Amino acid sequence: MWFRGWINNIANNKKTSLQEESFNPNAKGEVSKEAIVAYLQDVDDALIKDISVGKGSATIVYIKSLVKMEILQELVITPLNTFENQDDPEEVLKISEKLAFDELPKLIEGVMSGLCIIIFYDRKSIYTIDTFSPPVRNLTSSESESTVLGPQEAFIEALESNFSLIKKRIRNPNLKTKVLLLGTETRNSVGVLYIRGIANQENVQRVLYRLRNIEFMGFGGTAVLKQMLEDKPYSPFPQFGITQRVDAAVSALLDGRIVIFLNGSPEAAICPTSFFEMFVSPEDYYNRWTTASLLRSLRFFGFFATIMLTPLYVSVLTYHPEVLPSTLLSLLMESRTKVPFPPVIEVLIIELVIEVLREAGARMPTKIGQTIGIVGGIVIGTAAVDAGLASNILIVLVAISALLSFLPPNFLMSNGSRFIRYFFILAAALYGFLGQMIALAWLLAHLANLTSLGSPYMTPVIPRSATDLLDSVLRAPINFFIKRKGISRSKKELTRPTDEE
Amino acid sequence: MRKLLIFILLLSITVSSGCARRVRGPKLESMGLVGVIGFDLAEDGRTEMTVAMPQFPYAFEEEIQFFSATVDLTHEALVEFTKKSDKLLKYSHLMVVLFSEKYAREKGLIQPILDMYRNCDIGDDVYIAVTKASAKEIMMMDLPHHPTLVRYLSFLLEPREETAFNPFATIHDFVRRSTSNVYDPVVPYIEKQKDKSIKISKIAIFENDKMIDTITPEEANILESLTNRKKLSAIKLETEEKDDLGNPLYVMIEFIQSNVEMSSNKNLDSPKVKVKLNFVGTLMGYTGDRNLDKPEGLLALEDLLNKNMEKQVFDLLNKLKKLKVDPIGVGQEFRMYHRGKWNKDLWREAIPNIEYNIEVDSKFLNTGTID
Amino acid sequence: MDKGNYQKLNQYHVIFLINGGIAGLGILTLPNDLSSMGFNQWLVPLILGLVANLALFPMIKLCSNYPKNNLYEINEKLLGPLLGKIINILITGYAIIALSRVLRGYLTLIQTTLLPQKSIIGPLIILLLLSAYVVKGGIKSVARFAILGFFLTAWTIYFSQWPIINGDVRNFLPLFNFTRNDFLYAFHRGYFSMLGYEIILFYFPYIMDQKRAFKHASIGIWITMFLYWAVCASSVVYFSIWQMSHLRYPVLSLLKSIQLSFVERVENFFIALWVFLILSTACLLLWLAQKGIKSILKKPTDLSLYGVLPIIFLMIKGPIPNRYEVFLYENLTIYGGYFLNLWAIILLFLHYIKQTREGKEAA
Repeated sequence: MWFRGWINNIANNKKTSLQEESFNPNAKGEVSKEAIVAYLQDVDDALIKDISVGKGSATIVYIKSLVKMEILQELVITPLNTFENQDDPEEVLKISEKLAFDELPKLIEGVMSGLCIIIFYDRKSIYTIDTFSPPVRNLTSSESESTVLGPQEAFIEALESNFSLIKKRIRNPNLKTKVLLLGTETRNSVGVLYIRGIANQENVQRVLYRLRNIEFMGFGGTAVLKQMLEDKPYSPFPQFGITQRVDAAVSALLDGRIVIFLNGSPEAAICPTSFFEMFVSPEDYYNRWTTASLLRSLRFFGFFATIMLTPLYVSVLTYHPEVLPSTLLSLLMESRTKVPFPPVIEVLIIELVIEVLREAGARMPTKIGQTIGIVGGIVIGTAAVDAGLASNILIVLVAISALLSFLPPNFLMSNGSRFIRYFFILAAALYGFLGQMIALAWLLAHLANLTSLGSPYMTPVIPRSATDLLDSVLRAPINFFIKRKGISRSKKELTRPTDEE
Repeated sequence: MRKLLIFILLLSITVSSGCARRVRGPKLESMGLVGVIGFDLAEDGRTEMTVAMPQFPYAFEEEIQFFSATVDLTHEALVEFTKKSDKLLKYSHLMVVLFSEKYAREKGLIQPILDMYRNCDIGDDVYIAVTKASAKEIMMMDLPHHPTLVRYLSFLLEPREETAFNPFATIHDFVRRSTSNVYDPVVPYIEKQKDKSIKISKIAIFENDKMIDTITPEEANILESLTNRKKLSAIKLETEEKDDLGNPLYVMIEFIQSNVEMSSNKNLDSPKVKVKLNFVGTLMGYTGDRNLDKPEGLLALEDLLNKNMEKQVFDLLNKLKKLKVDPIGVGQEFRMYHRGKWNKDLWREAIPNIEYNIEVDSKFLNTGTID
Repeated sequence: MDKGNYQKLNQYHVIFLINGGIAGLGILTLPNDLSSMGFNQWLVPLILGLVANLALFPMIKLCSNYPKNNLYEINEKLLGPLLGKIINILITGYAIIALSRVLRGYLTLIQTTLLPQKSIIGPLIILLLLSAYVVKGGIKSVARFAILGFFLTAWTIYFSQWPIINGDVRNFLPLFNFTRNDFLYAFHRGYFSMLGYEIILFYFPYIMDQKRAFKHASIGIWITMFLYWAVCASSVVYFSIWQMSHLRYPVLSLLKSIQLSFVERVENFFIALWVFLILSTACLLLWLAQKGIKSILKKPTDLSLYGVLPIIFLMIKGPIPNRYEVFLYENLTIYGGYFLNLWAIILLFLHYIKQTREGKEAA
């Protein structure tokens, strides 16, 4: 909290000019053509034109790049053509909204958001028509989170489209959508969704409070906004969930969580989330409970396996060779006689090579990506062993732990685990098993101290309510889901009516 | 700011304690893993220790380095050997410890074994054996038909069903038994054979920690059954019957599962112990011509067997009584009901006075695939 | 969500706080401490548990009379500011000494078995910093850490089947074959393993369900006692009397008997895993010490936490002569425990006197 306050202080102390001050669309300003022209100076795709409407004239203001010609024609020009000097332009412009003559900032905000403004000077009235029609991406399936079954729709970059994707699945008027304007420079909208009556009001108030108190120039993506909202920004682990899939967001809403969208970014942030839910994929609910439990256990214990496996190699070889059965021991000793480095250095080299491979594969253009990936994997792996830079058992271990680290569906969580692994390797190199356990203790202490929107992070290890365990590492059949998760603290605990209701 | 300071402090401590080392740290390849240790009695009454250090333990072809020294304390030798070798000697993979018979009889094993027990590196399940010749000879012998020394010895001394007579002595067992106030330890006794192999030829009986006598493997089998080992090895019995030529008839039983129930009269002054031994087995061989497909035949055979076994058990228990040792743990039956302090001498005085009442009940499950 | 909520500990927190405070260093040397009882030592954990449960009763009663004050404040209320402060200083000293004993005992074990070629300064500093990190999150963070530590180490009890199978069950009889002196000596030495439940006097105001705190704390005590009993029973079956009285770390030898098919010797792994139990005890004691310093100085500073750490470091690594060390660690901690247990009864007595005196004045 003090970090945010410090940032706020810096932000507020700057001297700002008209253009750079915190923009408040509810401020007052006199509307006049000169004022509008002054604001839109050097915005060459803004069109401020006088047109004749009926017997009189009006000024039309819109941004060409935000408004398609056909929409403009259909919504504005054609109705205006039927205007015959009647009393009220509103009779032709039936979907318009009125603005007062002293609401200049709101007018400018409207123009920048794609509205078309028509100013009638003689009648002293301003009408705005929503002609916002930018290019939007088609609905595709999510590339980073894919499932075999279930809806494949993923969110896109437009806020209204995302709302419609959710609203067509939850047709409840209790699904509230609050839109805020955020970003001192971007002045973009942020949408907050929750189901009233199910989500806890305190949580909602907390989210809104935090959003309103963010003062930042703008956000590239939802992930940046998410980091500013989280309780503890220093932690390597994400405290809110993030998803591109619609079904994940819908189940979160039904469980009493709050979903946050940023206009211009295809991800939804879900709060509050617990540690375990970073390992949950929506496919766990489509699978039957036995498979779902198996896969969830694999993901959850895979997290701990990936941070313990390579450090185990280091500590066993350096400090505790008595753990190994004798046949394995002779194998290891034979393969290690060629290697000139101590186990730590060997492990660090290979781990860093794998990180480089992964990162290069992600940044490379796809045309060369395939080839270099195969080359890197096979050549580096085999050649390194043959040259004696690493033992082949180590290559197997590193490959397995790298694969395990990609198991969590939440990308940020798997990145976090990859980072932590280096600390475990160093700890194991220093003190062997004791070092690993101390590092694990540190990790658990850190996780136990984390909160997500004020609720503790480590449910369901420490369950908020006993029924949480039915949907934790082992998932019970759907009939057993009677209550909502404790972390959402919803007032309506039951997911469906039981016999009394 | 404070957190930053602490972090830097922590980092510098950990780095400085770990990285700048002039002494070469431990690495797996530079460790010499000792596989077998042998103890012999030197001429002046001191201990001669020999260690066998294979290049790669458990590989099939390997070279073994031997080091030998005459010392007073076990650890002295370990220090000596490290000076001679280019590797760091580690005992974490020690498998077998050998003692020569002379050493076991004259010096007693408790001193070196406690030294090894004290060492955290050495595990508790290291096998112990007594050798007929000197331990050094056995360790250095040439084994052309068998895997290398360490592997061979540890497989030999490992408890398996075929060698179920083997009392399976580990360091922990030995310490427990020799310091116990009831038991006495029992250790396998190995001998070099003419065909360049090693065999467990007898079982050595100890009194506290000094060896006093040996028993044959057949007797050891019975000993094991009396200590309630569930699975025994094959028993070949000589019945009292004779066939036409005057040779005794033999019966061979395998896959034996045994169960023993002991009870005592709880009186240390005139101790009486009732031993009831049940075992169930498969008949594997019979040199007589009794008709075995009828139940009477089998029952008669069982009766013969019972008598024979009872005699064998009685002989063994008598022998142990004369030696005044208790490897079976009969004393437990008395200690369980004795109030007040109990010590081993109390029990040892009472051992020669024990009267045994033995009952054996055997049963044949089947006679194999033919009758 | 419960920031700002003073009462934070629910029943699971209480149960595992008690368990985490008790189970720590004691369990590693327990069969050795109780070895004067010979083969009947498995009775002692049961009796220790009973005594602890009985001693818990006046403590809870005392705290229920002052539901919003921890023992430091109760001391000052009942005894007056000066005498109360002196007692508080004594209690803080006890916490520091007990903490040093726990850490020193564990680190000596580590140096013997796991890391013979390294000095213990590094692990000591790291453990101290880690405890400080946990304690910084408050009593709830300590409770959560204790819960995690319990679940991470409790499954070790599964491995007690190896000692039991390889041992002689007949060692259990004869029952009750010990003298009174044997028993008292074992009780005195084993009492340190039992200490840790009296810290409830200090976190009582944070408990949400104070009416049922006694029941929950008793559950915690008996869970720990069951684990102690299992360790003692396994060692009775597995060892001879000489071994129990001479082995310094019997649990280490018990763990050496485990034989798995895919690894050779796992006892080093479990000794490293023990660090969780040690840490939960150490964090609780550190929390106690820093609360004491805060109540003495009456000013909430961070120094109360970070100032304790160098003191402990100096106590463990510092130049205290050996004779004093033995007295300090072995005896003083147990006497401190006795003192705290009796102190609750004395304070309860004083409280009743004060109440009747106030009743008389009001009337």
